[in-house]
Amino acid sequence: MAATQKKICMLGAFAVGKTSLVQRFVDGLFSEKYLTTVGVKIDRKVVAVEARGDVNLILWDLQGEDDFNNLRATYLRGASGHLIVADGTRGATLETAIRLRDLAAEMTPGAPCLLVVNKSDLRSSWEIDDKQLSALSEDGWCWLTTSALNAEGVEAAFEKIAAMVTQ
Amino acid sequence: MTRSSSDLPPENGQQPDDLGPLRSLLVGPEEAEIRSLKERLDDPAKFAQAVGDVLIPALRHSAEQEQELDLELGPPVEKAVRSFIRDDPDTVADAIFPAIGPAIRKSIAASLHGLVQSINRSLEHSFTAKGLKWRLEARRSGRPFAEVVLKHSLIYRVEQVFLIHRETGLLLEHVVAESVESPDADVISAMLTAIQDFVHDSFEGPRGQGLDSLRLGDLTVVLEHGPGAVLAAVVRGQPPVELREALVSTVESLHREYGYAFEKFSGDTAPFEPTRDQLERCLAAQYAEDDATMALPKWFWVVLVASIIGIALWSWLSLQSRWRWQDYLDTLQMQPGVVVTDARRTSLSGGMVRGLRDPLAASPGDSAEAAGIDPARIDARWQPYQSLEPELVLARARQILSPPTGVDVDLDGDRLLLRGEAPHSWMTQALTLARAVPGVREIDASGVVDVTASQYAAAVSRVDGRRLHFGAKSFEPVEDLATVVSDVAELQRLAGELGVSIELGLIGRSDGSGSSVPNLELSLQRARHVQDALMAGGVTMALDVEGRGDLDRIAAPEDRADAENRSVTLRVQPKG
Ligand SMILES: Nc1nc2c(ncn2[C@@H]2O[C@H](COP(=O)(O)OP(=O)(O)O)[C@@H](O)[C@H]2O)c(=O)[nH]1
Ligand SMILES: [Mg+2]
Repeated sequence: MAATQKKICMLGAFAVGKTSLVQRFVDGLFSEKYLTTVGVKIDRKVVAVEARGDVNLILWDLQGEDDFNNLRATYLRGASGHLIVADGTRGATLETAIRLRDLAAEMTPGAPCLLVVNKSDLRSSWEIDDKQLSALSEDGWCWLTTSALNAEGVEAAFEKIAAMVTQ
Repeated sequence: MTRSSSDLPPENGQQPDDLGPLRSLLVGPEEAEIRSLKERLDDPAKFAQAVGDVLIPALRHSAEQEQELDLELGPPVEKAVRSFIRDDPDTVADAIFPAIGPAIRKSIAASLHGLVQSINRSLEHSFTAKGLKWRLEARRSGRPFAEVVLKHSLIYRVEQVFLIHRETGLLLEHVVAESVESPDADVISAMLTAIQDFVHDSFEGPRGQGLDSLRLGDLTVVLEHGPGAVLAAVVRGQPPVELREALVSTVESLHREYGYAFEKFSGDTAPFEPTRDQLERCLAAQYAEDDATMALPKWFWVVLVASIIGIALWSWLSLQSRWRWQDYLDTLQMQPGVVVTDARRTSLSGGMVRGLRDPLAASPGDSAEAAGIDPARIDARWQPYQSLEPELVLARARQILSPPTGVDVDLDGDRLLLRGEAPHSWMTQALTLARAVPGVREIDASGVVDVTASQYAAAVSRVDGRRLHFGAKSFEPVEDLATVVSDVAELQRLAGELGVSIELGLIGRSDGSGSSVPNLELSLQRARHVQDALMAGGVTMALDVEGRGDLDRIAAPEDRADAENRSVTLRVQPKG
């Protein structure tokens, strides 16, 4: 276990593509069965970060039904950073993302958050526009767009969060 | 309440009693009502009934207002649940784990796959009766054979120990028992943490306290919590009480040493590598003792293998020794002049023999050495005898005759063959002795050349006719007589050896100068001179001395005629 370990939470509204992103990223899927019961699926991926060496990301894929209140906040405890996922085709998921960031800031003060706007392959039917995104940047958000479908930006997103948590 | 029932409690202790009438005036009509209320409050049974009547509607009402009742009732209820969990955690755990059990079992089972396979391999070829029974059971139940074996033979085995950071759920260190593989330990660590979080959230338990154990079929995860880290032991079979004690003391000692490191942990697990020793001490196993194939003590196998090797070695040595002994007896029996009457092998390296042996036979020690047996380890007793086997007859003949070099002695049936060159004396002796050799009936000496006879002939030819020369009118020879003397002595010795009687004639002569009478005298003197020299040289044979003067002249070329006649001539002749 030479690599530094970091706990990363996947946060976001229901069906934004958290599980798909992890699936796209990690080498193999560990277990999905108990996800609904315990409310979390855990996977691992080792990422090389420049000048920091290998980082072993322990990814907690939290089950967020659209109801924000159903999230088990306890699971955020001890996380080094969060990947907050929104669905570009559903504007409401960005609202959820903003609320989740506040929750994350409360639970894990100082842990960086990276906003991932997913489903970039469906950009034509996006409800979230560039104006909204640039407003987020001004607001101090770090964000990028991804597609779990065609893998665009997925590696970059996880590498980015790995770099952020090892700063 | 010590006051009389007619008195209402005053608002102020200093108030005078004369206000009583005023009071009764003011509240008189309600006094009875108040009294009855007071009675209800004073009587616990009545009071309880009254509260009971309103409590349910009150709760219902409050629930509609949300917030407040939650706030008020929350803490005591939480406290009650907490103490319930504390007092009877098993019930709670048992209630919740059927739901999550299968999931975590699956993930742990995946990591145990390696172990199962390795056991499968190692047991593949065990065909004991028990093994066969278990194999059938495995076939019937559809479970891997190794799992069935473990079920029957294992009381418990601590297969993995996780040291988990409490705050992050990250794996700090992890050890596994032999042949267990767990490549996903870091994920399992997080899952165990998630499950604990889930239980916490679901039961609002205190943070310092957590799950004691999860039961997942044959596997149990025993958890021991510390403020900074959690120890999780994955146990196959029934975890013993001592395991809990071991985990508790390990958690305590780890916190003493690493308490600060736990607090400051930010993903770098290197500082926790030294905990491996302590974690490994928690790995333990105990197997059922009635399982003969697994529980036999190590020394038994050592002794068994040693005995097998020992027996094999002994058999081999004994077989070799048997072979060697047989070899020895065979060569011994073939040996001429040896008769074995009794023989026995008395040890791996020796034995005893009894029998007859011709003293001239080959040494029995040589047979032993040829067969690889130390002759000193053989107790041999030989009775001497004379063998009539040809080899021994010949050996005996050689011993008795002791032939000189140049003589071959051989045996053809019962005929002794002598060949080569031999002195006359040995021959005469040999012909007599050979007749006394047992087993010899005839002697054939035709092949023997008598060297004495030929030497005698040579000596005769050297001496007979030899002419010794003298100066004119002198009886002193012109040549040295030493060689003649020694030649004659040799002739005399050989004649003696052969038993031949001879005499030597010495015939003196003179040249023709002068008159005949003095010449006759001179010739005689010359012969006598030679006679003296011979006798002085040890010649004892008869010497016939004769002087012939110039009467018997030797014919010779003119210039040498007289020189040849100034001489003495030697003549070998039979005696008498
Ligand atoms: N077109 C498109 N569909 C996606 C993408 N990511 C996820 N989905 C789909 O969105 C649905 C929900 O995804 P899931 O990963 O389960 O979302 P989660 O609830 O956040 O874990 C699934 O039907 C996915 O196939 C994407 O990048 N593009
Ligand atoms: Mg999901």
